[in-house]
Amino acid sequence: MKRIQGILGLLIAIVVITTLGNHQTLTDSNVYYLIQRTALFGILAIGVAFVIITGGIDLSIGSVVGLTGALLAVFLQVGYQDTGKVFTVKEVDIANKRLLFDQPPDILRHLDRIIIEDPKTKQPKSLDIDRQVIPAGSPAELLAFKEQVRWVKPGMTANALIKKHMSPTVAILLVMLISIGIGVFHGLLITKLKLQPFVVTLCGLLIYRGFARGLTGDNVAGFKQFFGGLKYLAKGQPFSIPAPGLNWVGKGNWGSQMVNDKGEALFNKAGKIMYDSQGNIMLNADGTPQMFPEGAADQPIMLDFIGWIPVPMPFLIMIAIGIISAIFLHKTIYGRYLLALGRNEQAAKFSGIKTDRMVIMAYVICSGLAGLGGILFALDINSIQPAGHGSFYELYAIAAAVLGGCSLRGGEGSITGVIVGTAVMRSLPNSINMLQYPTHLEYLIVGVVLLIGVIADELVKRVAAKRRAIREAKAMAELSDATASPP
Amino acid sequence: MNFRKAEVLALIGENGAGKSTLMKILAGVQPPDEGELILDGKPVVIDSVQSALDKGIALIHQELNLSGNLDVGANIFLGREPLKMGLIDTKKMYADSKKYLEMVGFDCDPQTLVQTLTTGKQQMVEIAKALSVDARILIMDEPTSSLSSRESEALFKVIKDLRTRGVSIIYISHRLGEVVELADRVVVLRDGENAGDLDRVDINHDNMVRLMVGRDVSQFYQREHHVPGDVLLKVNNLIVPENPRHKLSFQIRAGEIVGVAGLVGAGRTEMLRVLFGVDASLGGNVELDGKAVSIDSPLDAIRAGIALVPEDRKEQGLVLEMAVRENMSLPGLRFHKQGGMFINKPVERNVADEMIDALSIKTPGPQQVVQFLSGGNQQKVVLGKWLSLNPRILLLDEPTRGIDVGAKAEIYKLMEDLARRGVAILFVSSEMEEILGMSDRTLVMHEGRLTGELTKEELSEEAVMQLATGNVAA
Repeated sequence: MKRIQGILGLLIAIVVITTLGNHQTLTDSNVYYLIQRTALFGILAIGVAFVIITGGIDLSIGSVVGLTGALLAVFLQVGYQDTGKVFTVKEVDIANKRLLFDQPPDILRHLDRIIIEDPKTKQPKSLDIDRQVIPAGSPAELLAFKEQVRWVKPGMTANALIKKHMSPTVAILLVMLISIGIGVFHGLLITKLKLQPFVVTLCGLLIYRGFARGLTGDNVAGFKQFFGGLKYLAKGQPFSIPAPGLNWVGKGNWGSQMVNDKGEALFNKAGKIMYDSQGNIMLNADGTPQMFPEGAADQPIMLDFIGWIPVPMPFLIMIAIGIISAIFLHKTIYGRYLLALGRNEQAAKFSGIKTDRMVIMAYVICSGLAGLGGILFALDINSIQPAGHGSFYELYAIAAAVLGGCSLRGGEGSITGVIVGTAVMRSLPNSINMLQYPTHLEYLIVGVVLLIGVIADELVKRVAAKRRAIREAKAMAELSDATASPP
Repeated sequence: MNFRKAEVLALIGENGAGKSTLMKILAGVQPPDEGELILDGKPVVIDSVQSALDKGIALIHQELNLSGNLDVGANIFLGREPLKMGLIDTKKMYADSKKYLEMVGFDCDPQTLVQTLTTGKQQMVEIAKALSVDARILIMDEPTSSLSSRESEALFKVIKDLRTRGVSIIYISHRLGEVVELADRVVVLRDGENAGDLDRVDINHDNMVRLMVGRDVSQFYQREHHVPGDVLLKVNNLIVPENPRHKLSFQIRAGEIVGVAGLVGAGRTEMLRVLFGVDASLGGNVELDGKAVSIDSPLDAIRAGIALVPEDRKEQGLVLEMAVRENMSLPGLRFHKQGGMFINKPVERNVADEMIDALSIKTPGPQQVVQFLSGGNQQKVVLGKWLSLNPRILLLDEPTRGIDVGAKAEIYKLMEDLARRGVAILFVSSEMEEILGMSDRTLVMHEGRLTGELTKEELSEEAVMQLATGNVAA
């Protein structure tokens, strides 16, 4: 706890200062956003913390994030396969974009797309089946389409296709295996060939980025509208937690009335949009805003004191990883070995510890978590720009780990500290945004604040070390007095 | 306390007695809390290394402070390079260096890289450096701790020579034999206080030890004779990678203490490293209880019941920033883990408490960070770490280097106890007294070769030196 006091103070200071400058820092949506970003980056930072504890460094994290994102998108590319079946169109319903076929319904049920030759251009044209719109009671041979069907005539023949993609589980396992493989590769080069971690992972940074760009032809790759279930991992909100006071501060509603984005007081006014007690616009079933009934009396909105923050799925993942990591580091013999070898590799070796294996393990954890982070980042952003996706993430992760108390000299680190460090790293750009400083000053401000933070931390440590040394010396002196004095 | 002109004053005391602190104050590394320094009858203030040097006081640290990647001349004039038009005047620098090197009787090209010199020769460079600032008072902190006997002899000659030139020398050492040989006067420090002076005529081993420890230590090496057991460790034609031309063969019985004597660089440490599996051997085999065992890593050695207390306790023996308890449990963690990977905290606690007690380690508690302990207690932590595993064969590499007399005596007693319980001990030592006092049998090495084996009856300083310098008995 003592070790993270400083960084926790810095985080609180940033949040308080930003909130004083702009109360919307504490709206539920901004807090959610901050937590989600912290979680995604936190996974990377926990990974690199393991490597930093061994006294090493991993500069390839950002590229691994880019590569794993690109790989996942490529693996999960959705393609269409010809079933070899040919149907004939019987009827065309142009208005509803529907076609009636001559086939039994059990075959049609599995189809995703048909291809019909366009009589004008003599080119095959694909039509995607839309399963949502067919009303109940229609004949089963009827299929609805997303595209217009006015050019289709009865008697035309259609080729039947089905959608094909790799199983998401297999794709994720493959991506994880590749990222773990990268870690093994780094570890072997560093321990067996005795190459410097900086050099090995710097080359990795270039290679994996280049590979991601080559793999995709430098084109944007993504998951489009598919894989909703998988995306839940990155975007899901399994439950909400209460946050007392959040609404009153964040929405500027200090126990009285609420204000909109422009700072105007909001009322449930006759003929105006309706808000709920959390300050959100109330929607009708079709997604349009619900209107306050005409002629009713005006009502000022009083927000609930307790606001609700949805908990992002990545946050739960990060917390799970954090707990496992902290237990691993502090309660298992392997964690102890890592801490020992980070401080003195020779002494660890002389104590019978297979230090090479432990170092390789640290790089595997780092790349593995970078791979997991990469998967989540990719699912979150949905379309991956191979040239830039994830670049600089290694520096954010390393900065977060160092802010959180990991010494680049090795042997020191706390998982809680790393997570708080990540929160600081994510709050700073957000706070620049909230305080409406120009965004091109982001790096400048983040850099200066970090430097001040690290300097302050170092000074505090020095004072503490001095006090400690004096205390230790006193304890030793008392001890020798006690033993030297005659009985 | 007085220092006279042109005398060799030996400053002795147990570790933590305040010798180093006192010397740091004199050399301006650390400010004094109170009191005054009087130089040539006038009170002076020394508040920086520079002001100490200006007054002619130079300190040669125990760990030499030379830059290995620079040459001898550049080291001698580091920070005071003679300049010519803003650039280093190398010609003058080397010429002057040569002059100072000759003063210490060291014939050496000033353009030699320091890292290519032996420790003893580097020491000479340090002394030449001190002379180059015209030092009148030269403080030497354990100068012989890493020198071979021959190098030490050369150093003593230089010291005596400097004395005749009117240089005062303050000589700090744990090696009382040297003090007897060199010192004109001895000042003994105990717990930061002057515990007594000895003039030339009173300087002898017993007097010094009594003043240092504050009590009589009449019997230093308490050895009893006990009949050794069966052969525990047998080494056959072992080839150590550093000296591939020689094959090493010897054996140790249970309950035997075997000393390994030799000069620095004789290949003794390298042999222990191979036996403990740190380095791979190039040939030969090791038998335990008559069965061949393969030891490819320290873990294999530990599993076979072998423990090594390495030469450099700060680099190889301990993780200095970790607690006493964590250091002691490190090799044993894997043998009593829980649930496949979790640390067994109660066992860890018990082991540390037991060892602190058994070895009477002076520490405020098991959570004390090891670096704050004195050298002797640090060494006991290293011993405790291995004894907790109940080794059958204990390899000790310079087990008493840089530790005080009291702790030394305790370590000797511990070796005796372990031998009585049947542990086979192989110990490397550069201290003749220790070899003579502790060994049941002595192996002597020279440049990677086992030049001889001496029984207790054959053992004498001359016999060891003959073998250690490569004169193999016909």
